[in-house]
Amino acid sequence: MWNKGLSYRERHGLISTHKNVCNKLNTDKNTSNHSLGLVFFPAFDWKISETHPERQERLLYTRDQIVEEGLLDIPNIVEYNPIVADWDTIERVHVGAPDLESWVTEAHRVSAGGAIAAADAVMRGEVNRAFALVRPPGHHAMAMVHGIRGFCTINIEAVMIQHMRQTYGIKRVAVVDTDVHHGDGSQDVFYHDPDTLYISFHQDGRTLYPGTGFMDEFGGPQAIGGNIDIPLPPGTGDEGLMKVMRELVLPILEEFNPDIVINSAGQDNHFSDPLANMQVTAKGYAELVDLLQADIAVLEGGYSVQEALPYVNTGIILSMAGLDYSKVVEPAFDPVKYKQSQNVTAYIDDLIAKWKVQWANRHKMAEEERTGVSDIWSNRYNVYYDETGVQEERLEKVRMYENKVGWHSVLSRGQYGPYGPQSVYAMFIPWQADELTRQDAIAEAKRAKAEGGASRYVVVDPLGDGQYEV
Amino acid sequence: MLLGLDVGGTFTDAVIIDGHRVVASAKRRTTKDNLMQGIGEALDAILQHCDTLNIDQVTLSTTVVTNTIVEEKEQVVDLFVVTGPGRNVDDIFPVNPIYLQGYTDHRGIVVERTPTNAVRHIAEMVQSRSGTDLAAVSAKFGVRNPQEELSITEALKDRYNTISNGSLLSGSLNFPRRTISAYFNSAVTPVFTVFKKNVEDALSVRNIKAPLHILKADGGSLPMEHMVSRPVETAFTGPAATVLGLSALGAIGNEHTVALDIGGTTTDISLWKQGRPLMTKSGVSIREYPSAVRSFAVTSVGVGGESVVRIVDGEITVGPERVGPSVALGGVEPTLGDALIVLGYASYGEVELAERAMEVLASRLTASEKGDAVQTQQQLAGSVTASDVARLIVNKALQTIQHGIDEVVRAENKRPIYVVADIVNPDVFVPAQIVVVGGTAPSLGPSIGKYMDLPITIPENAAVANAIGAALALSTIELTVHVDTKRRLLVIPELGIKQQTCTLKRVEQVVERAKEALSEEALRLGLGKDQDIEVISMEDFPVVEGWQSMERLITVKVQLVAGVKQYVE
Repeated sequence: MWNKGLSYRERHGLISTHKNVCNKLNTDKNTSNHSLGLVFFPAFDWKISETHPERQERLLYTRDQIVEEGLLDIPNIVEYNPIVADWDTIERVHVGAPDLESWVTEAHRVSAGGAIAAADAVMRGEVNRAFALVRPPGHHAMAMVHGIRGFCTINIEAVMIQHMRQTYGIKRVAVVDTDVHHGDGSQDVFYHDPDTLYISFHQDGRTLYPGTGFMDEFGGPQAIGGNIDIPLPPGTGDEGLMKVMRELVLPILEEFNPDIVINSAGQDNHFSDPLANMQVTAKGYAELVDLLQADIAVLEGGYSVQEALPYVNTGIILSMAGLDYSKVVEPAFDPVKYKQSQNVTAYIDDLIAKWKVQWANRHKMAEEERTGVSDIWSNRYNVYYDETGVQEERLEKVRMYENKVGWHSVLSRGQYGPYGPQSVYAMFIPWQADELTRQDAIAEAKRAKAEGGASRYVVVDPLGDGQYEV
Repeated sequence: MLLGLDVGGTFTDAVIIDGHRVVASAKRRTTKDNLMQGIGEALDAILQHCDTLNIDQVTLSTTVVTNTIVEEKEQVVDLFVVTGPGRNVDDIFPVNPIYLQGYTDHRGIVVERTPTNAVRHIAEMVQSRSGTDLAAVSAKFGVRNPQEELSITEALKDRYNTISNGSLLSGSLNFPRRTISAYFNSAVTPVFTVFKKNVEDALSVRNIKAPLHILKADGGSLPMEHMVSRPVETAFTGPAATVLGLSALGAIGNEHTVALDIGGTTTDISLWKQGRPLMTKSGVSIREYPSAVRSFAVTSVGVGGESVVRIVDGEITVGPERVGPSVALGGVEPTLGDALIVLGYASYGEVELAERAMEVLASRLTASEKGDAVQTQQQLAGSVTASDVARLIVNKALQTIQHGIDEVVRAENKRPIYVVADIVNPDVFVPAQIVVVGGTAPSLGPSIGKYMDLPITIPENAAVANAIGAALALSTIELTVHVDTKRRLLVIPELGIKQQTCTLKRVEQVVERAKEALSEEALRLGLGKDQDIEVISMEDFPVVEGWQSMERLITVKVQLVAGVKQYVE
């Protein structure tokens, strides 16, 4: 286990280790000395639209199940209320077009605030680990926001990580995204940051929204190996997931050596999910969470609101609290029907083998990426916002230094949205920036403004002055 | 006229109330070994000048169930549970449960039946070992569909005298809590039944024919006859009686209020919003077991008039134990009361004895501090006086009480919230005034007001507030109506009702249906018709299945408005 069974504060010597180092999975335990902070925020008064999967009902049955199970009465499970995330924190991650206020509602700020409350509980040492069981979700929200993408508006994990960087000074972060959809938003936010490892396994993009998340998306030019996409074939079950965890995710985490691990805990790999085609069970999810030992988990997708979510969430809560989850079995589970097929198993074995090769080659690939590139690396691509119909065109540039992390900028043009054509230029200063990097970035933003072409020019300086216009 | 009787841990109080006046009151020692003796004495004292025919109702608040539970004297119960998949509940009940096959899901769909033949067979084996005639039955999601619990109960009926059902005792989600309620309900039934008989005899000997009610932990009273099937709800009624007493004395306004009941051993803290006391979120804990029994939220801290004062490691401590009476009353160890006497806040017992006790403490304090390397000016000047020590003691007590209040307020403000609107506009509890009752109220109350910088009220007549509260308690019953429009299902778990042909579609209709059901139940229990019904919670969720159909899941909870029948002067 990458964390040797210790909490964040124990691993970092902030508090002494007062219990035996444990290296085993939870087995038939009904008492536990692992405390779990639970932020349960079902947003019973918020929806995207009447029949949208993101509606009031989504966590209703989960609420019913966890209350009926008496999980909130377990002494080592502590319930926390969310806070309302500051605009300032959100603006240190996101740039909006025409602006953030046009898209971000109070519900989004409370959802991000739920993730922040969970992080605070862990970082202050009040609990060993925390689970933000909140909605609306965030992992399809990119740094640039022209509207709602894949039910997401702001990236709640990214806002939470920003909060942790500015409040607690954490450095190396790993985000493991276990949602069935590729978290293209989280990938976008962290793509150029070599100190934030983003690992996502998901149903292959050729068969599912958002259609991205392939092996060659391996991190930006200065962060090769910082983005791990593991596209799994439809029909993957518990067996395949555990294999990917044990043979790829855990060894990669071990090598990356993170200060903290975040789980984007989407629940739509479940066999009953209406939007995807996987075969994972509630117990499979609980075991995955047990293997991963994330410090903080944040709910993402999962839309089998009746047949999956009540059981998956019960499983995750029990697992994170160090309690017995072996009895969490969905009524609809059929071990024969949901057995992973041999084809799928073979495909996954092959994928794991390929990935091991790519991971081993990452340093060489990083070197190759640098040679032949000037100071500035650039890339053009398009982004589509399914919920609002916005088509966005981006020109992305990255400042390449020899031995430090440079800025990246996005010149973004969106059209067909409710606010008409939009053009915004955003300069993202890395959180690792020293004063020279910062000055380079500001000079570049001013130069871009002089060149013209956008209606607004903003600089985002996450550990400096926040977001401002130039 | 209303007769109120409060059997507390130390005293048994009785009052007779006529209109807005307390016309008779009496306080007698509680006789722990035979409660009936103290009850009889208190009754005789108030009945001296009163025609028993004029008594309209007798209401009783008693520790009989509480004591049984606290002293772990409850009877053996065979506990049958239907858990289905989920949390491991092996060690969370007072006894190892007997697991029955079957599962009902969160929508109330019976996924797997519990075979009743097997139940009979299992019960036979279980009972041959336990030898008890008490049983409890609880099923996960029994409140969404009580059918399985009821059919298991039916199968056990010939074998056990008493069978409690979780979902009949509470309509709220929380299977472990309902199970614990059901277990203790059966476990205290025998002692409650005996007590009921004794009280009825005591009343009939004194020619009192008025209906007998008993107070519940939620501050409502119900006919004794009805409570035989729900005795667990009569546990922990002491705080409820106090809370009602405070209401009846008109002491609480509409502001956010902290109420303190300062007795001999403890200070009980309750919070009030808009003139109403706050309830526990999901129920009271019975020993260490969280139950579904509704109750007022009352927190005790270990400071009272007779809290013992000691010096530990050169520091003054007050409480949490009570060893005996104050030195001024012939006790051995000094108490908070002795300090209050020395400061002139209280006037009972022998002042000289209290002063001497303080002086002894002062010299011991000086002696222990002289051993320290650093000495304060005061010690260099040579002396800590008796009143210095008394002030230190009172301050220590105030500190503990304030700390308790802060904790209770903090916990209240951390209650889980599930809607955006309430997070964005939180309803924060900020104390605006303090109300103090109890024996130590007059002597310690004013200092609390000063210490916490809040206005303070100390109502008169507070000594028998509990009995007044019991006498004036309104009746309360609570019902939950859950409607699933898609499945045309209506469930009222507390009444064991499951209807499969429900045509209600809108929340307003469900509220109406809930009110009707509550009125009918009130009528059945012989309660007055004049009591108001209130909706205590309402959930109305649109349900989408197959992306299209718009059905609803509606849950409405209604109750008879709790409180007091009238105020007393």
